Amino acid sequence: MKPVTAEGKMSMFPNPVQKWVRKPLLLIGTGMLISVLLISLVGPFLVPNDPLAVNMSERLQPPSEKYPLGTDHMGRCLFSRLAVGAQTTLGITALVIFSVIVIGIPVGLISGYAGGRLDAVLMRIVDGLIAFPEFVLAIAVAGFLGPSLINLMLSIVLVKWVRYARVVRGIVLSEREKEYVLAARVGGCSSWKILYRHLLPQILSPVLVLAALDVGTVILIISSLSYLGLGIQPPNPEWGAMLNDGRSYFQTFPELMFYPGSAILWVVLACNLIGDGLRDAIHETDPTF
Amino acid sequence: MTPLLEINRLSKCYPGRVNALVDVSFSLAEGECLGLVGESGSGKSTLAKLILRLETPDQGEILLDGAPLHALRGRALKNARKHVQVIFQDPTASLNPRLPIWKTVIEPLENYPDVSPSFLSGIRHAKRQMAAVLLDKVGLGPDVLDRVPAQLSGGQRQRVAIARSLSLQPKLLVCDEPTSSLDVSVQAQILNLLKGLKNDFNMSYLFISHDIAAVHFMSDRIAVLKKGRLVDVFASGQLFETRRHPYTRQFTNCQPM
Ligand SMILES: Nc1ncnc2c1ncn2[C@@H]1O[C@H](COP(=O)(O)OP(=O)(O)O)[C@@H](O)[C@H]1O
Ligand SMILES: [Mg+2]
Repeated sequence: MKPVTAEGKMSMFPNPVQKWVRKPLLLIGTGMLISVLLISLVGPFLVPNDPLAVNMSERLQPPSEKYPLGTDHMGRCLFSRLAVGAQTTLGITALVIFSVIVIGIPVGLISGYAGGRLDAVLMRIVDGLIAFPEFVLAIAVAGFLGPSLINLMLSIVLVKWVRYARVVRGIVLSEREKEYVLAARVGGCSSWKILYRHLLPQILSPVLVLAALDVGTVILIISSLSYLGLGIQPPNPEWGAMLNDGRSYFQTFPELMFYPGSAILWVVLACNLIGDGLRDAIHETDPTF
Repeated sequence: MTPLLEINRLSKCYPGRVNALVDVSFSLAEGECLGLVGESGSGKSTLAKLILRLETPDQGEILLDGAPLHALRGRALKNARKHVQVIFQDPTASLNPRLPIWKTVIEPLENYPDVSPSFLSGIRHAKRQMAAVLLDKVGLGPDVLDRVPAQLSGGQRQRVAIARSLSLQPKLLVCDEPTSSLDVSVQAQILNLLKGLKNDFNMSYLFISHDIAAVHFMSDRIAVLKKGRLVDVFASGQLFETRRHPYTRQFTNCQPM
């Protein structure tokens, strides 16, 4: 092997920001997501109307100065409901993804590294949960627990963590026999230190990609469960619940479903672009991934 | 006098009925370099991993300074382990790709705060300084401290792995084909480095290779492993004698010296 020259080093380790900019789809996805995040953060302070205020005399209004996107079947401002609902939808999604990662990573790490009976038991649970289509299982669990915000999140976390645990375990199984891990053991590292210092960094980027791709499906499950009446309860604005509300007026006022539907599509698309772009970017630096 | 390392009737069978090691016995004296040759798949790495306690033997004993290394667990194992360190074949695989070199080199010293090698006296608290001293011992300058393995050549990476293995000043260094994945031009440099370090640090070596010339250059005695069995053990100077085992002579005949 030849010594690496200064130029060689530069091309092997490009500035991560440069890398981000060089991927147009990643950049577009990030821009789309930031725009929604901004709306969800500042929206509630800027909305022209109270999102919960019912005004039966102004039902199903077309867009006007007072109502930028018009009103729904109860005379509530659609724009205000969308902007405030963004916070609910994105907040729940972030919480669910966070919980799923916080459960899935340790379970996968311990299962893969410890092996033996503990691994067998944990993977039996994972296999059992993964056998069901996740959407069906989420509906069943949410239906069993009863409609509430906490139960909604619980049911999604329950069906989602298993995939993370399995991916993490797979990576740990292949990494634990590599010589840098063996050398760390010979050097006196405890199992705990090997897990957090040597194995955890190896799994962070794959898990990040998985999470980015999952944001879309989590939003869809939240919206679908709300649509089925198992999620966010009326009159609180949430995109899936708004979609549900608009259902009866689909023939005459399709915009009641079009606006929340587009908002969901926008975020799902953004997250998928980010997830795909991240995966490509990681693949370039680490072809084994 | 008890030998530094004594192996008694060691056997290891991997799941799937692979008898990787069968009834292997030998001993290694303090300050000695024992060469271990054998073709690929003959069980050399398995023996190394058993001595390093990365695998557990099915049968037999491993005695380090007379103490049963094979039976130790937990704290006692960690304590015994600091005396036996390792250099693996592939320096790319044996360094964490994400850790800067200086962190890799001093990791064992972090794990054993009570160990104070003589060559680190006075700077035992200063991590980067210790790393620089260790790297200097293997011929690397302080400019590599903050690099990651991908920014080094193969030979440099192997030097880093050697620096790490020295950090606890072990009694025994297990070298599992330390030059096999390196360029021919670098191999001799690494062999010379290892030979010099052995004297400077007063270590014993178990030097594993399928390159009989390298083993002959490094070792005081040579052991020959064939399909998991030890077939020949002799002083290095007797390598070319006619009474060598036929398998050993096959080795010396087919490889250019
Ligand atoms: N983890 C393992 N599981 C099953 N078989 C193994 C494992 N490691 C090594 N072996 C087998 O044991 C035998 C000896 O392997 P090894 O000790 O690596 O030989 P060497 O280092 O001399 O090339 C080979 O047949 C190999 O396939
Ligand atoms: Mg080997």
